[in-house]
Amino acid sequence: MKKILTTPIKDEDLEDLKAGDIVYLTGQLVTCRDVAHRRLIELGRELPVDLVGGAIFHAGPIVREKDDGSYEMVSIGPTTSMRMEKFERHFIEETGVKLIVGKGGMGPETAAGCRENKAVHAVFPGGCAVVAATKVEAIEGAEWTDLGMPETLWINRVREFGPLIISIDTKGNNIFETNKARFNEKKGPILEKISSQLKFIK
Amino acid sequence: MSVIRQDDFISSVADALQFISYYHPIDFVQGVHEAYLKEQNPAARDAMAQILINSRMSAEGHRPICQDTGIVTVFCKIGMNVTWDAKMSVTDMINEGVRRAYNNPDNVLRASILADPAGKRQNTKDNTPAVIHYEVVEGDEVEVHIAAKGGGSENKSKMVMLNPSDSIVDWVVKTVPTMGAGWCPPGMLGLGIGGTAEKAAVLAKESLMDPIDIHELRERGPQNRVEELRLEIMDAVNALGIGAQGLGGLTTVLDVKIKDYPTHAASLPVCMIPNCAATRHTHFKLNGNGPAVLTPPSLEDWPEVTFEVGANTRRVNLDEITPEEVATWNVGDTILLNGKMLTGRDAAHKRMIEMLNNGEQLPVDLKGRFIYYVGPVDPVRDEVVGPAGPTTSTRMDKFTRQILEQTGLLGMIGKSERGPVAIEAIRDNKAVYLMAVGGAAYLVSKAITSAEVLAFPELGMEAIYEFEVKDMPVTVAVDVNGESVHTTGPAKWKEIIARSA
Ligand code: SF4
Repeated sequence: MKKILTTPIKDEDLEDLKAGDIVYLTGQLVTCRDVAHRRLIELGRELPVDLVGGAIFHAGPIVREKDDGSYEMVSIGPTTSMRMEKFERHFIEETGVKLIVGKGGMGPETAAGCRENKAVHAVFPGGCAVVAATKVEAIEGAEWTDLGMPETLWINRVREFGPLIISIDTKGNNIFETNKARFNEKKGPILEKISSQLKFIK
Repeated sequence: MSVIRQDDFISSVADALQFISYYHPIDFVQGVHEAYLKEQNPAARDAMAQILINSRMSAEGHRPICQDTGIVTVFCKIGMNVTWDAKMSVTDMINEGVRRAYNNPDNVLRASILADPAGKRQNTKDNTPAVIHYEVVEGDEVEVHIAAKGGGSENKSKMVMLNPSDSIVDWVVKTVPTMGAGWCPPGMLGLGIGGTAEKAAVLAKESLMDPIDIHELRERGPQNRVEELRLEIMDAVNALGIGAQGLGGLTTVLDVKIKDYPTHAASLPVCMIPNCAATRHTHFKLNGNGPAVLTPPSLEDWPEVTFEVGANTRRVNLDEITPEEVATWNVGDTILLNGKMLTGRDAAHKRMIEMLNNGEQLPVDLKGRFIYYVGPVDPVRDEVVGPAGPTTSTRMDKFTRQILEQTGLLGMIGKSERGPVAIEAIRDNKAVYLMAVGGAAYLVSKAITSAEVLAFPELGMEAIYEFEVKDMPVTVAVDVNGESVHTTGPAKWKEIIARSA
């Protein structure tokens, strides 16, 4: 059965999720990336959106402004989450955000933040931005538009947005770290083989 | 509309390359001289004295500043209204200029370019092709910036894709110590910031085409973030205490150059390219009125620096040297070598190791002798040998233990630091490693009174020679106890600088 999270997300909703699980999101999803993180953490500015129980998306979408002044989502895909690693633990604590969606894994700081405040990080497959846009029902607001299209906080109403693959769960398990360890184990013998073949290089 | 003639263009390129092979830019000479006057570490001061004397001698004798005469790098801006009276493409004309310059019989330059870099690595014999960057601009002129970039410093280039929130200064300060001294400081750092990966690299290289002007900047005060960064990075890097040739000291960089370009919201590409003691570049414009005229600097622009034989300087006769005498040398001591030494670098070492592994006898007995890591330029006129500065020693590190243990070699002479494996081998065998000043190649060649090929003649400049030298200046860099001046020197001077700040 499709597991669907609905905002506001409660701690219980996330309790049973394990790294590797697939979920979908219905409700509010706010884009929030580099500069928004820096403004909150480095400059101490208050976020113009309430994220308690909320979901953010590390993304810089393409949005079309319609003649009547409303917005339409054209294309929205994830950006690399790792750039937000040094802010995310704080960010979770300050904002009460529950679901962070992005691309690629995040590191130990975010994992600690997820564990301490019962939040999760999930990845949306990169390069599927048009599919994602079809899951956005409406853009309900835009904040910090001075940052330009990619960095604006776009407040989206989404329906069954996904698939979202849980990469860090509320226990702090991190699927990317686990995989990295596995890949590294395989590396030794491969390197040995290559080195023996390339010995002739000075 | 101007018409540029093929011959004018080719000879301008050739003349410019000859010109920069022996004339340092005057701003660079002045920069090193200031650093020399300010320097408090005697070893680093000596190194800079050698660089300045070498620079003047090269200008006087029209011989290359450094035995590595570089890879030719060209930034060519072509005005849209220019037409060409030429049969060759612009790229071919530039390469023809390179060919003429490097094979000029009055001042032959070292051909260092190898084709098939991942395979046979075969020398192209004329230092072609150049690395060329074109831009088409408004106007009716052709503007050329041309440089001959040393391999030692180019090899230490670094590139990173930072997060937009990361500190560029932190990255530079963290990275410079990992570059060792093989880039022959004091020199410049060129940074390219922004654009894409390849754009940042080209910007970094292009930034090094500008003259040293950090003092003027400091006086008038920075007016934008890039100018602030230049000063911040310069001060932070010099506070590391790396010093000339990595011996420890007050000046590591003479200037920090930065060029930037808009970049993607998710990106902060940064490329850093060091320029060495053999900073060689110039520029010219052609507008159809004949070839470029390059005005030679006046010798009076060079400061009168003499190399003082100080209290910690000793003369050594290599023909009578004993392990006991070597054991009395301390790191940082300056030594004037006299007598006979051997030479050998990458290819000769590889050969010797192969022979040792096959149980063959080496063509030269190394017992109790000194080997100089060098690949000299061919001599011209009545010279014994062309410019013959040291090459980066760490490339020989992996051979060192076996050579010391199986041949009884006593000492090595080369450029910049040794790595841990070599240092341990030196300590275990009570050998010694001496450092000659990278970039002071012509000066060193003047200390060589005879040169004779002893083995592997087919290796050309990489053959094993025997040099007879008179007062060749070197610094003890790793002593018989395995102490390394490249560790102790910068650590000590970092502390001194921190205390006086
Ligand atoms: S000064 Fe040093 S890095 Fe520069 S070309 Fe000469 S040996 Fe190479």
